[in-house]
Amino acid sequence: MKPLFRSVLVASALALSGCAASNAPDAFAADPYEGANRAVHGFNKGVDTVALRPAAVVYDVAAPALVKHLVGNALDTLALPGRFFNRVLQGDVDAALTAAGRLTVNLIMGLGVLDPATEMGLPSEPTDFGVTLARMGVEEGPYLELPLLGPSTARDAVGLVGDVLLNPLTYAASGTLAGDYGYLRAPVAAVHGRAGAMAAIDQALYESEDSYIAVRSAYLQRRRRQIEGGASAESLPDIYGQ
Amino acid sequence: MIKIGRRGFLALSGALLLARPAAALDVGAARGFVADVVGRIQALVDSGRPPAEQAAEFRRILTEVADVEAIARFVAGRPWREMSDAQRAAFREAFLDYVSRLYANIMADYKGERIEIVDARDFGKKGVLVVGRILRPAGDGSQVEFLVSDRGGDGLKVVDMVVEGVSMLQTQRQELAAMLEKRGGDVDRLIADLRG
Repeated sequence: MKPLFRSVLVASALALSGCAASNAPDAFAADPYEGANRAVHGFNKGVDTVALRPAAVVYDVAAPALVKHLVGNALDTLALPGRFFNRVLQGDVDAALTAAGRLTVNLIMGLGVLDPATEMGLPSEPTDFGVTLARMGVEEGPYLELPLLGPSTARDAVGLVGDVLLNPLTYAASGTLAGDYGYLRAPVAAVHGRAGAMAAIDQALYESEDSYIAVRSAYLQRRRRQIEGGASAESLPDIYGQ
Repeated sequence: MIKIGRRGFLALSGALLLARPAAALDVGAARGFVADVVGRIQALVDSGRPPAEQAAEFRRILTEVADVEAIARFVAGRPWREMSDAQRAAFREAFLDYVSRLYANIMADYKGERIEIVDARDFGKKGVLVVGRILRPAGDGSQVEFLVSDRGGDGLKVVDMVVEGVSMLQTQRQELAAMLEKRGGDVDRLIADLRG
């Protein structure tokens, strides 16, 4: 009985140390360019402090809820052609048809700023070329913080270029309505998005101990969830598994 | 030959029922548990008491409903293994102080808003994820999720809170690692600073 007891002890000790060793590297984020990323983060945070945040505060206070609603819908409509092409590339026929139907309905019945499509069962389902690349099996790559564009990864940075190329508005001549709309889109989207997530972004940038880490962590978590299509068993922390 | 009588058989099957694996966490029970926790936090946020008092009360609720020991171990990450028992206890208390201040602050932004439980999903040994939607007077609701588990062996406990896809545990683990690095790996200094 005694030797058996001892071997059980030894076996469980080995199992425990095995568990501990396998947990050694905390590989949540691959961040080989942290030094450069932190410099860019300092710049981006400065831009937020002096320009983006004040603009978002004014927009939030000055624009009536209806205006914000219409701006949100317009931004969604403008993104739909690109989303359609991405859904096709992802091989997701249902979602591609939803994007096409949504574009048609909201453009014709909603004049581009109303959203009758959602009530008709054609909801907004954001996607982009970064997601398309992930579905094709491209690895996430190192974390990057891009000037003005904010947190990203190598894969998502390539995705940003892909989305510019996939967006028909890119090819509209400047001087035409569509061409100028294209130039306006990015700053409007930035202010609208900043105002919509005011508390969360303020918290990460100005109330956390290390805003660089807070932004990196939040970005990667949300992005991975979006790519996986929601919460998954792998994305949840294994709190008792160490 | 062992003969098991009817009474013995009943006792045996009763024992087997009691010994069911902990993995069979009841989704409905987890949902009810979270609804109760959310109700208590809402009552606190709406009470209009001063921030320091709210943080203290939030700390009490947290100690009761969350598996603080396991959370502290997770967010401490690798250095946990090198900490002495006294350091671990001090770290756990300091971390509680820190998140109570942090979340009392965050929750103040949600004053007057209601959280409606909309879904609960079973993720096996990771626990049950209870999904809440924050109902805003205007605008679209954001999502807050609570991961509930009974693997700590002390009944249902909250083990993580996920706001808009961002896990408190993952974020704190990374932030604490950066904080420790900035303090040259000095755990005692980190503990002192967390205490605030």
